[in-house]
Amino acid sequence: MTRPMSCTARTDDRDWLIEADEPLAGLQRRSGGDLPGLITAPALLELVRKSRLYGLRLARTFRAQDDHEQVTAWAEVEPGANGGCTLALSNWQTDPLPELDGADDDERRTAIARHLAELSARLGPNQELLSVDSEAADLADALARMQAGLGLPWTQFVELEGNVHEQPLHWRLLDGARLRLEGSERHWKANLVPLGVPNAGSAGFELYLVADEAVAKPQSVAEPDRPVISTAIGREIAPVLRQPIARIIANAETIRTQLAGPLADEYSDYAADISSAGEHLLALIDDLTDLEVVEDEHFTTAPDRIDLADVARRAAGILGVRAQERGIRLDAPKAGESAPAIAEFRRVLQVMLNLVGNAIRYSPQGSIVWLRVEQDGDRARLVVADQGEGLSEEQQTRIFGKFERLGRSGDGGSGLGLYISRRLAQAMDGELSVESAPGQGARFILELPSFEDRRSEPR
Amino acid sequence: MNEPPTEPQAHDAAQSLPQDQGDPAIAAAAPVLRHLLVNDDRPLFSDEIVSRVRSMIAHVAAQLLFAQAEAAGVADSAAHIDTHQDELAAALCADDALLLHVHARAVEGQVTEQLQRRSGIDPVLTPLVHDFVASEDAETASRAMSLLAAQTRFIQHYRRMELPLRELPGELFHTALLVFRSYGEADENSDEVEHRLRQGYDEATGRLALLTRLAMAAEGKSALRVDHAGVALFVSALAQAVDQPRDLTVLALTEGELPRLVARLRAAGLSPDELQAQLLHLHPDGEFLQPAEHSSR
Repeated sequence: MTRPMSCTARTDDRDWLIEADEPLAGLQRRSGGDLPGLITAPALLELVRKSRLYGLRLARTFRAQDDHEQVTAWAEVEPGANGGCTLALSNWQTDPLPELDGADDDERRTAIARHLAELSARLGPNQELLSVDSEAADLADALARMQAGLGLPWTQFVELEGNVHEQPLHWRLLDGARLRLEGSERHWKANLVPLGVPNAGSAGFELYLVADEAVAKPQSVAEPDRPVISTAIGREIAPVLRQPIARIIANAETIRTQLAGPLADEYSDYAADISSAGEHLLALIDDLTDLEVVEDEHFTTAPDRIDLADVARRAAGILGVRAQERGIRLDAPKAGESAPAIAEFRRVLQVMLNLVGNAIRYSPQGSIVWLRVEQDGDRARLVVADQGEGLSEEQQTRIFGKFERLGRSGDGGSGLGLYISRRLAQAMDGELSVESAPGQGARFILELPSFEDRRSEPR
Repeated sequence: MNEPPTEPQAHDAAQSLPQDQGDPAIAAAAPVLRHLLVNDDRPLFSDEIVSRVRSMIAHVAAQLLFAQAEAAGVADSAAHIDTHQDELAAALCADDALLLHVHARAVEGQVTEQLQRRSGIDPVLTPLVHDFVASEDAETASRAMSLLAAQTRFIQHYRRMELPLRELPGELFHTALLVFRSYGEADENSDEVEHRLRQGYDEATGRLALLTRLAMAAEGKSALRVDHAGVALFVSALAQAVDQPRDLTVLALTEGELPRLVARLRAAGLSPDELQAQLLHLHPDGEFLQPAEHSSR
């Protein structure tokens, strides 16, 4: 019974078997799998999954069994570049399944039949129908006929495959018989469980009809959904991208500042372009990483006690130089002011840097950006007001959308900043809103729970 | 707002406790010491095994740190290893599966040495390996040669109390890298180091893989005779025959675990006579020779 064989196979990033030689292909099909389709042998699936996730070449024996034999094989799995794996199987050995104890085996088969049956009936000692029940849609007609014909042998309502001379046959011959039912496209198998002691069948039978195929599902042809966007940007791609981009920027800066010797100004300007494009790319990666974080349903923030005035002053300090370059004055809260709030310091600062950064970017030269804190009962507010062009009603509704640029381009924004900021605010039980009118500047308001809020309001 | 009133409570507790239990470290000393004293003669936790386990884990830590130092271009890698080795080793010890594997490795080496002394079973070149080397199947023959080399290295590493990273099973290799990642502050090199280590790993060339494959190729029960196959192949074949992890099967070879070993050998299909013959090698002075004792188990 042992036929040493070897074969190769390929899987993809969902652990689907894409290509497989015999005998693996045969095992896959006999175990009810498709090709291509998810690996059916549990041990092999586990091995492939580990290899793919760990990025390690693994080699193990694996065991599997189908309906009539047990398989042992040596599997070597190598993760590939495309997210899938290549498999090399050798020493493929098959052995017949171990003999089961006769009684146990019968019991098990009966249990399976009871579980899977789509039509069940109780028969009398002469195999006449006593009662019958089914919920399968394609058996509705047959069920109606049977229910109308209670008392008749059940074999009259089915079409037995193969040569059948006289009816009803002895139950042992009918147990396991293949048959067709009018109105159903499917192939059926009969299971008869005799009742009564000492003579099996003296008290009648249980009849179970089990179909070979499941009811065809209309959507079964389509492949299962795959996530449209991979959620691996922050975790896997970002760290890999950052390093080369940082190198590009550093080298471009070296060229721009002509550290290695004088250059024509044009080249130095090109280098400046490369460097700023690199900076943009880095910022975009940061935004995409943040986007992934805030969109994760498990995203939470730490409920620290912070002072919004302090956050505003720090944001003004961080962005002070950039504001100066554009001739803009940042008017931060005075040293004595404070507005206690419950939120994660880092995240509030991130929102502030985004709001103030936007204000600096879109305000006219020589204008002022005000940072104000307010406390109103159980809510604390931080307001960033600028003297820019302002926003129309319609723009105000759109501005917090994902990738929303309000028609701007080429200024280094990703259109994610405000979207992320609002998600952050909401994750901290707060809200980020805007008040504005065209020509009158804009006021972005970050509202967060104040100290008393969380204590009085159960969450 | 609601400062947990920890301080006063702790204070009260300390006052209400007898003086000798005030310090948790000292309070815990007695049970630990008692355990060590009582289990002194238990081969599973003998001083030798404990120090071997400690050294092997330290060696795993050292290899990870060396790879890091190399990638970062640290001039004095020995100093780098010295600084971090103990802490990283402690972190590695926290993983049960890794600890179990290292423990099993130490026990396997010890049993191999014992059997060489007692029954003259060669740690490397056993009759079964000999047969494999002379096999007509070129693949089996070359695999047996690889095993010879791998097993020689294993003994060498055992004596030096070392554990090369690439000899770890895939999961544990992965675990070690995860522990390493969470331990070290991630610098720009760490991803690269990890990537390189993963790239270099190939479970199929490891000793355990070779043992499993040859155990599969062994005819009949020939690998289930420790005197014929040697400890390493014997354990692999036994683990495979009863579908149990190899590490646990190794631990079943120790003295206190005799019932487990007997159960495994029986489950693998050995007759009582064949079983007795194996136990004569593994536990020459075991109580199993007395039938009454045996049946009472």
